[in-house]
Amino acid sequence: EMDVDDGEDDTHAAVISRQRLAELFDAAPAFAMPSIEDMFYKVTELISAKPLATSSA
Amino acid sequence: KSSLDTKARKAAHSKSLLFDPKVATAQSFQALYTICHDGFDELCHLDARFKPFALTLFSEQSQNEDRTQMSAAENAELDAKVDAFLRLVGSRIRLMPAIRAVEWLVRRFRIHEENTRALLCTFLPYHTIPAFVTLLSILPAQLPHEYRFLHPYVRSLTAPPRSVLVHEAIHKPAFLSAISDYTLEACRNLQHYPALISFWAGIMTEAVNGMLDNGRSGRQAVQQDNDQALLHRLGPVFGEAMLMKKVPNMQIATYMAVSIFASKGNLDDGVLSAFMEQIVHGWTSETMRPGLVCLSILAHHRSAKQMSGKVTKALIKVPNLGGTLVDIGRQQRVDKLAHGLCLALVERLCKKGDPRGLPVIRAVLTGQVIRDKQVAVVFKSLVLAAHRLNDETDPEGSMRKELGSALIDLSRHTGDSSDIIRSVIEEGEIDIEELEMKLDVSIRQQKVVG
Repeated sequence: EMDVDDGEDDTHAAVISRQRLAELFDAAPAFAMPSIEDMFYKVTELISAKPLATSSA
Repeated sequence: KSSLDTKARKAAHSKSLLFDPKVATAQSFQALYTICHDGFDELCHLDARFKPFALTLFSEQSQNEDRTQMSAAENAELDAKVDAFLRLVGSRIRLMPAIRAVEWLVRRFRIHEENTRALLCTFLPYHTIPAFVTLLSILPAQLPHEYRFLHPYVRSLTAPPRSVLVHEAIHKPAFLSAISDYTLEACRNLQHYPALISFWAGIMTEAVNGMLDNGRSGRQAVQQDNDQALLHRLGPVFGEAMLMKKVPNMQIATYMAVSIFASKGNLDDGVLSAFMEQIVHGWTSETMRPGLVCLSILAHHRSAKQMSGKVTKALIKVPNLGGTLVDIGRQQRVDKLAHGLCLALVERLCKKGDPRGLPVIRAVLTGQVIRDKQVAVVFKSLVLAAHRLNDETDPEGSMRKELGSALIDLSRHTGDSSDIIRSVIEEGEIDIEELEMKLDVSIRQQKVVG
């Protein structure tokens, strides 16, 4: 069937720096942290693959 | 003997969250009650849910209640009330009235000795503030086993840094379970508060990352066993948390930990798909965007391409799904989610006659969020779908009309993906003549005109 050549995929397990992750949460005590949604985006930024299009058309 | 008793009683009475031991020893319960009750009154003004405790833990009569004189059943009942009160006061530990009210429970009901676990859970999100150190100073010499790591901080009377809690969570399952159980229970009872969820989220996310790292040593088979064991431990916690529709923050906090797990946990497709289904099953309008981000990370690590029926069905209901995917795709890779979704939407179009996916497909194909090859695959599958539709599967012809105009729009689209679409058509794999007749529109003509 139709399939995509996976040569360009980079689905290998990510390397997430313990230190950078800790820095996100150590920046403020839990009661003074940004919203959990903001924290979520900060964390996913660390682990996500970079976007395909770096500049929008 | 009686002088020893008196001495012991005095020593016990000196344990206080508010007063110097010498001052505390000399205090009468009546004097103390006045001070503490003021705090309780203020709490009642802040939150009416405290009021029922005026009849029990903070009643006039409480001044004369002595745990040692109560039956086991009475003590158990008292424990339940203490637990309920502590859960409610947890969000306000930084306020003086809260400390005053808790002081009453310490002094009168000795909760630091009798309810140590509950008290520690209540104060733990505030482990950096002086009130936590004061709490450490009055705890019994032997802490509950999952809190033994705090002993050095009890001795030095310093606040444990977060890194110590994370380290403990990585290495001692009992500690991580204790804070997970406490946080989940708070959410079930809608007694959660932002700092509690942020605290849990930070510890859990870092602990997952650390535990997966630690499982990395050794052969691959051993690694997979480690990851499986961890999944077995944490899966039920994540599963429940992601379905908490009334606690969006807890859902998002869990997406955070799950994203880390998926990114480096070598999870198999079945597990990744199960997480995906839990997300879409549990999310609400408040958690859809972070949910989509988490889905895109899960999809990125999944080898199967097409989205499952359940996930697709849920995704169709997301308002402006195409636009949101393109928007997220500007920040990070969404191609596997978007591509897998488009394939599923084409199938849905053919099998169920559901054209709702077409706007999403258009947005994805023109939004530069999937790779060129993926654009070609989706476009080809759309053309194939057009061939498969006939009077039997599409008696009104409405599907063919919609699909036809979508194909025309796409072939006229000017942008990066337009070249790919044009090359797909020109490669000759597509019988435009037949398609024209079937769809009653002319893609080629439109293309020339456009």
